[in-house]
Amino acid sequence: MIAFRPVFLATALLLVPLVAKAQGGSALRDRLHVVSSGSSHAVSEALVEAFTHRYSNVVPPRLEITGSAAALEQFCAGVGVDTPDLAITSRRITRTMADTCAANGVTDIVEVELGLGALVIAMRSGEGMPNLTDRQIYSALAAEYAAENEFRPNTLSTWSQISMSLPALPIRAVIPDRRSGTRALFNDFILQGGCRYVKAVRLIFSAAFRVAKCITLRDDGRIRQLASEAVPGALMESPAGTIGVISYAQLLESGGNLVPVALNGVLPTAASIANDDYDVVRTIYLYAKRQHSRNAQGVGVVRGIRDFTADAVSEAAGGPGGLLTQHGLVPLAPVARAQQREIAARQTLLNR
Amino acid sequence: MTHRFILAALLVFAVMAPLGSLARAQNAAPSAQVPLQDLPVIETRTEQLLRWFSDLKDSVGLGRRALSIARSHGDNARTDDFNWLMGIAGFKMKNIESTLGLLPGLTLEFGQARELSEADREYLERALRRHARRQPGPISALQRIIISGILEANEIQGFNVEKLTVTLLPLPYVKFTIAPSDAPLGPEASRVLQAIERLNQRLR
Repeated sequence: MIAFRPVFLATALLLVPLVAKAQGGSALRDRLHVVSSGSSHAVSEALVEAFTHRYSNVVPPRLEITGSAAALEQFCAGVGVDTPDLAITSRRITRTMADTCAANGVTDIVEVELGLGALVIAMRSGEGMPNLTDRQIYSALAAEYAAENEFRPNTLSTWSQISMSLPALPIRAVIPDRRSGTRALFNDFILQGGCRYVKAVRLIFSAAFRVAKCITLRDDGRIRQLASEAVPGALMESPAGTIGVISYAQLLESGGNLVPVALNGVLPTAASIANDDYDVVRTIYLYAKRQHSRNAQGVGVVRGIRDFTADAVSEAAGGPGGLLTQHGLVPLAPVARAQQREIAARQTLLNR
Repeated sequence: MTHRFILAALLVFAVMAPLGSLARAQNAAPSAQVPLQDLPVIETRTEQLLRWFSDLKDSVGLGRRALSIARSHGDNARTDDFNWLMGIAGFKMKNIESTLGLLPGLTLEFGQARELSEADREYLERALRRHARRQPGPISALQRIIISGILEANEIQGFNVEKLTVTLLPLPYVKFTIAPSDAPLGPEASRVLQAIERLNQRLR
């Protein structure tokens, strides 16, 4: 059964134009449309490549790289050939976004977890930064700091001004720009985490105003904001004392040229990420639009959604030593992996 | 008759066996290095009740033990207590009503201190997961249910949890006060707004 499944799918996809013609020219698509966040592009590319390799007779899926929020917005835009079938993101769909989806008619969503990724604070190999806390990073990089009853511009120039345990090197950072999912995680986990217990910020009632105070960065030339994929290269060329914000996958790709800095006392390792000990861990999600699959009446937008989802959560992809671990993902616990396989097989709908 | 004798013998053995092992343990005491242990304290009913009341206060972060931990950590206290979880859920304790009597009473009132951002919500969900792993007891589970209830209630479009009243004694219950997000201002808030408006006019 498994042996001829790819052949069956391939035949079905080749027949799609004929079916479309038979249905009075209804515009069925001949390929999957996948949108992905920039931070999980390596994972998305690997999955698309594996799918293309496995079903060699079908038209390769169309992969579009964008930000996590933009990917989900596109995914939730509606049902039909012009909208994506699958979304791979580093952020879970929020209830608000799920409501938007429902308002646009996207009601049948399947959510599976692919694995765990992490955001890493890195430095060049050989440079010493013992440990950083989210509060210290916020203090170093935020545009303003709270002094008595007002916020004043941040004028700190060296790490040692924040804490005596830190080196007397100039504060510099290379971080991903706003289009990146890694940047969104940096804002949410480290900058907002760092200012969460600052009394003056804590007193602000409005979430929007408080978040703006936390994530607005200084613009005195100490912070370089680049495309996510350009950060490791720029970090390698930066002066001593520069920290970089990269993904765990990028850290592994650096081949030891970049080293992680312990964050809140925990180093990012496969074990600390899997155990939920490391603070800046994210789950990579795959969302599938079940309404685009063919229904019992043979009507649908595209074929292959279920197969793509099942392949993505298979042991060969997400298990230990699997395809996705080669791209920096840490496997989920065995029980969780089994649950994801069941969701993919049954195409269980998301209930948020 | 024989059965009765066997049963009686088993019963005696069951009672005497632990005593025998205790005697062996006492004989072996000089070489076994058994740590010193306190004798069990004989408590009166009142003392038991007060201790239980104190433990209950501790469990919600109001007892001496919890307060001393919070003080020693200053603002960064990340003690896994109810107060801390309520803090990250955006609620602050407004008052405590504590009564001692035949039926002691304890009521805590929390008011919304901040709106939650998406990141705060994610952080809180994670804190609850970690709390569940570290503190699986029934009281901790109840605390998590309350916090999750706030998160769920705040998901209702156009409504906010304005106030939360947790009554622990004599009968435990939780009261959520949910109000529309665009509810008309109360007289006090209206007066403050009018004062700001007057100040603005004067400055112009």
